[in-house]
Amino acid sequence: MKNKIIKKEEYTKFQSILLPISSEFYPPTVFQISAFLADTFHGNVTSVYITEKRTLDEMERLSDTHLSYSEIEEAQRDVRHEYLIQAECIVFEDARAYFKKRNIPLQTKCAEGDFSEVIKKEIRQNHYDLIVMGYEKKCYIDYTLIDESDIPIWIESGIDNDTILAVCSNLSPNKKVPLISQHLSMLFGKKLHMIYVVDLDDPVLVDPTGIRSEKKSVDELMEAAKKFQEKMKKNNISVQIISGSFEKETIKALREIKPKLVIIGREQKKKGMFGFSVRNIKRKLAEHCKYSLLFMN
Amino acid sequence: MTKKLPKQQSKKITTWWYKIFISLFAFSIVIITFFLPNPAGLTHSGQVMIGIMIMGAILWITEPISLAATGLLIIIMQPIMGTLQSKDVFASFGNQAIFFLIGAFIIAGAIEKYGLHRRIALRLLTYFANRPKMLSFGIMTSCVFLTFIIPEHGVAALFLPIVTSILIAMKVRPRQSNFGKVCMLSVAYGCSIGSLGTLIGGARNPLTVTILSNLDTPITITFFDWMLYSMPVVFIAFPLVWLLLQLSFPIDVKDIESAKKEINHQVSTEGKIGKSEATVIGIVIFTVILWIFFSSSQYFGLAVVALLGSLLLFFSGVINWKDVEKRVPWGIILLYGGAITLGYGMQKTGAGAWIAQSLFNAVGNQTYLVILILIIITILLTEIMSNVAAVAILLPIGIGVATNIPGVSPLLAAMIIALSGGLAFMLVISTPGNTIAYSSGYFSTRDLFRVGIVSNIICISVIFLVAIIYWKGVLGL
Repeated sequence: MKNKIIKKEEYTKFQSILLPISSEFYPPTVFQISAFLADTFHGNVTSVYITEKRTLDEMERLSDTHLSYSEIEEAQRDVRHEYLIQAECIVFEDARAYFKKRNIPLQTKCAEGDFSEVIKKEIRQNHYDLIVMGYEKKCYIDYTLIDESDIPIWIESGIDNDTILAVCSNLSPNKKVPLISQHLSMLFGKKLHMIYVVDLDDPVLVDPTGIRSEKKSVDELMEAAKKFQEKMKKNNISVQIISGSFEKETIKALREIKPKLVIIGREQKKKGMFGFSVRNIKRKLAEHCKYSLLFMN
Repeated sequence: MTKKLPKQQSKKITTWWYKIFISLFAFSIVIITFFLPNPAGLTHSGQVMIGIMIMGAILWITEPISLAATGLLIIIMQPIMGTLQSKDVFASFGNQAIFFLIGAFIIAGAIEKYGLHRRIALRLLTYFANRPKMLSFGIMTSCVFLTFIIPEHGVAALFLPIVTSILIAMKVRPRQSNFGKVCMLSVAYGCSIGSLGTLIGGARNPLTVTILSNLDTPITITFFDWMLYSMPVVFIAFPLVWLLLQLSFPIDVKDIESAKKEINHQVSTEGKIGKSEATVIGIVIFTVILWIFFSSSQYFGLAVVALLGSLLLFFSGVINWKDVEKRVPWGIILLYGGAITLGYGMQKTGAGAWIAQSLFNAVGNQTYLVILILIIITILLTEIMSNVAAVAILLPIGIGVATNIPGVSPLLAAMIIALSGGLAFMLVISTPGNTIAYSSGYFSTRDLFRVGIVSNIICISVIFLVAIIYWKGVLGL
């Protein structure tokens, strides 16, 4: 299938990439993908090594009573020190090996705190277009950032397959996902498989500005889906319409298609009390998906 | 910053509510047991004592307050609820094992002050840095041997920077390398297994000695007796667990040169042994000899030897009170005090025997099954709470079992519980040693659980076999 050639100005450019690495989980595969993206978009990379405060706190909590405060302080100081050496001698050295040979500017930083909090602070202080990170569910890392971030997050798994799966739905504006998925499928030379999930659990439509409509009937939702399908057809992209729960259908689709990358848009799920998300969909997807994910927030 | 404050505040409020809820829930158990009619065979005091034990267990597991504070709460709850008189409760606290612990911590503090433990650890590692497999074996062996003279958590804290720096020098990537996993898990498991070996390794060991000496027919265990009972478990379990680590995470590193260099570098930075270090070594050897040969009741006892060793350290000028303040974890003394009074109360009110009878009625007189159940229950409980706390809760019940089941003596039940209580392998929160090793970032919680569950099965088998063949069969416990 030959896709429509996208105009250069329509590209989403990932020029300033933030690459956070937690002291609890080091995924070297993030360097490869961020080097590729930075090379493609002529961008730069900032790698932040985060000493997890939670680990230190947990150590203090559990050693309380069993070790004296002086011993706990010494142990924490040792851990901090070893983390910094680890960052310099292993993590940043690996990073330099990837970026230096491609002449990609690399800035390295070390910080201490909770993973998500450190990244949020970094985003507030500096401009970034993309966060590239790994995901490990068997640890204590705070991943709330995935649900809260306003900038795109790429979660790299290191698995390479033939397809890119783009997920559109009635819950997202569906503006960025079609564009970036076409672009990335061209860049990686992978097939593009696009699905449109009609979420029957949350029957609303989200307009291009991200505002949710009133409740819609199933027919209205299906009509919107077909309209989107027609629109994409003009760009030579076929769209598979699926109805059900957004989360379940997405997980089902990615298990069937086994993509290299899953691209998900800025879905506007119904909010619960005090404006909190009813379910942490993105984090659930990150937990269940063994393939790379790109959340186009 | 302005955005962050409300979130932090709400987190604090949530934590505060959680603490209040858990504490009220724990207290309500005591109140309920106070007003409930007591079942046949259990006195009212015994029933309330069970309530206090459950309260302690809840607070020790969920930790709304420090473990030591829960220890204090257990002490005061007994006179408040009328289960025991104040003078009896505090008299049980003033046991010689408390002073043994204080003395042992002072001696360990002196060793730490002069970095002798680090020197010993590095020296031991130089003998093993020939092959990656041997190095991991060396790490575990060194941890095991050091926990014979220093409390286990201190050894874990000592080995963390040593092993991490070796792994960094070898460019071993966190989480990616099996060698990194094996080395760090060797630290965690080596410290736990080694802590069973002597009375110094873990506070639950002197706790067991104390509770046995408080029995109506007191049982005295010397430093040497303890080693005689526990060493077979240590020396069978630790090579098996090391072997399991090798099978679970086949070593993926071949070059050991950088590790050797790093160890030699660290050894060279230690310099020569100074006068103070030599004095500490001399006093430690002297104390250990006294413990082994003269700690029985007809000689000096455990505490006198420990305090004598500590005083010699003061007289020789190698330590001062500031060092003691810095290095002795006073919290463990209070936790220990709470544990002793809990055991004393459970025993005096007959609550321990009643629980044992109720729990083990169905089992009947099957000695081996009872032994196996005791080991499994203790290991499961120690996974989710402090080792000392788990042993404190289970010892009175185990001793109660001994009075009900023929073929199980109080000493046998106590040794089973005390040694099983040190084998918390599965969770990061199980013991500070696991947390300290986990903080290195070299293994995941999943790795720990996966290999921990099999290690626990191995250790259950080892303790079971040692109990029936060696303790019962050979020593006649």
